[in-house]
Amino acid sequence: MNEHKENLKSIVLWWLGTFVALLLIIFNTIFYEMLKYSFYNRVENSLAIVANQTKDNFEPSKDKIVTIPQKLDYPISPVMIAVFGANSMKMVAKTVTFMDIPLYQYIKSNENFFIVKTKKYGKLAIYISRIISPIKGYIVVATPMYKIDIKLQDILIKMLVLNPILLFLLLLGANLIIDRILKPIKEITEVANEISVGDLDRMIPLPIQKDEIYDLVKAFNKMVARLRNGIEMMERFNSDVSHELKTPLTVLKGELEIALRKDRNCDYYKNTLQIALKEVNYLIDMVEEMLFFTKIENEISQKEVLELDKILIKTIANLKTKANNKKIDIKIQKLEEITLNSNKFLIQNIFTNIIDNAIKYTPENKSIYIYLYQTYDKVVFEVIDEGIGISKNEIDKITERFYRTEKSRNRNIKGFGLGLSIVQKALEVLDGEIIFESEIDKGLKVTIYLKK
Amino acid sequence: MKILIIEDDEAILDMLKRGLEDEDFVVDVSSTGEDGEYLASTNHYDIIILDWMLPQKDGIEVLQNIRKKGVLTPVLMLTAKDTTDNKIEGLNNGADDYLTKPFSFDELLARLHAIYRRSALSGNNKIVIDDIEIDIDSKVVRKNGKIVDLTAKEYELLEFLIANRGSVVSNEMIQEQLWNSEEFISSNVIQVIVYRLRNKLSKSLIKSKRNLGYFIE
Repeated sequence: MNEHKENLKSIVLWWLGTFVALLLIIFNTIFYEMLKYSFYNRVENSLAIVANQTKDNFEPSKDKIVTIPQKLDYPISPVMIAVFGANSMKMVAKTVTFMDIPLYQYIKSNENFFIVKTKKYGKLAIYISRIISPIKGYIVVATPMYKIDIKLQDILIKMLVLNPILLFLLLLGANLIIDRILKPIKEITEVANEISVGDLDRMIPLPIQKDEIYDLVKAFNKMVARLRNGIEMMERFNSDVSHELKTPLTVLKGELEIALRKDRNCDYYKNTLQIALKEVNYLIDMVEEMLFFTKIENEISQKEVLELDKILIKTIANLKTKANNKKIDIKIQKLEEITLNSNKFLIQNIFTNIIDNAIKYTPENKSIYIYLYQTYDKVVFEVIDEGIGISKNEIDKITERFYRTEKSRNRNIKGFGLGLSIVQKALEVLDGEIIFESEIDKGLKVTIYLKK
Repeated sequence: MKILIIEDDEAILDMLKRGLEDEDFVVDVSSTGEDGEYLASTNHYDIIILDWMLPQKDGIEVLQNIRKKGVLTPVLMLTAKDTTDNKIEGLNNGADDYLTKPFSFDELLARLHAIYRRSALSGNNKIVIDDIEIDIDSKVVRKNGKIVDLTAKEYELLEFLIANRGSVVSNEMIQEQLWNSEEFISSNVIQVIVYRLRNKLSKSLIKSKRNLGYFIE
């Protein structure tokens, strides 16, 4: 993990460094060349001015080479000036400073300005002006380039020193910025490494700046919270399940051990076996309900058009025996013909669980009232019983798994408290809603809304 | 030995009551914390078996309340909770022992005996008085090395008198100890048991104090 992070940083720095170095080389080369060009241009211009001034500054003579007086106001110095005649390339005039340079090839050329390297005098800039007066010929003006070359060299050295410093500073700055960017990522990594199933309460502190990292941290924290919820639910379910399993197991183990402690008569064994069978059945039912619970989620993919009224009638018919045993009258108060695109398995289970629950908690000789109707956007299913009801502070808890109200806690009332949480879960999957209204000892009204 | 069981699950309660009575314990039962607390603070019990998860008033609350009332009866907590924290919580609140469901009935018996030895008999499991030797765990009484055949009630009375050795035990206390609260006995039943015990063991072992009760010196 650590190595990977180092790599990311060095990759960025490497590419940035290479890119900037290349840019610097290109820009500096261009800059240097432009500077050089501009310097040379200036020299050329100056020499041209000098040549122009020289034109009127000497009197040609046929016999001897005239000395051109050095003027002090030349735009460039030192200068060497010589004038040659056009015909024989004979020198007509020169300044005292003029030194012998092989000029023939340059004069023949069409160009005016030359940079010439001589062994004797070093680098020279030569300007050749073709004149027709006072004589027909050429004015050659030359100046040594060492001053300009020193200047250019100086600039080049400065560039060579400054550019790496610039690059270094840039990389240093980039390094700091990358560190700053990577710091929260490093923190995320650390926290993520530390987070185990056991301590999902950990949160990564949100950065102050609301940038992409902020979003990442937020998303990460949300993910951890979701995981925590899931695991908490699982843990609670596990603990509920093990708790619920322990009661029948305690009875089973105890009864069997007691029966085996001594020689008993036949009736005693029979009684023990009956108790054991009852507890085993209880365990089987419980395991089945639990498995069922985990199945709900997979059901939603299968949807079909359902005739809800027919399913409800069928469900009631299935529960009729149970109700008759307790002499409970199931009264269908309202039954509209409703079709709904939904999952048959889940709908059946919702109907069965709610009505079954009502039968369970309704005393003998009482009634249960059932309504099924629709509004413009919802299907409403209502079951009202005349049962033991439930207190207000218990209403919120009744959809919790394994929750049985205080009054129903004895296991004589069959069920594990999973029924309503199955309904709740099914409604979650079907995007429905369940509402309980109750007064203790007056019964319970369960209303279920299904989206059309 | 008289035991109070406070447990809300009827099947467990029924199993425990039948199992313990079968082992000659005298058992009172309660399925709610409320009733259990009342019984525990009004009657004398040698041990209380207390379930943790009770509706309304839970086991810990019952335990705290009876301890506040000065009831020092040893309490064995019975629960499905099995983490160390739970055990510590139970013991810190005044429980003397802890057993997690599902438990072995033999272990429960062993623990009940151990608790009883600790609390009533100061840790002895064999008590010798003159030529009479009583083994608390196996409930066997020997006189001069020979096993004396005692009925459950006779043994219970003997054990009760030994547990309260040196002090006088009234008829009411004996009745409460040897029979559960739903049973009613005629007053001379105790007299008969004492008479038989004296015959089987020794005339001078159990002494009477007129109008007060019986005691073993």
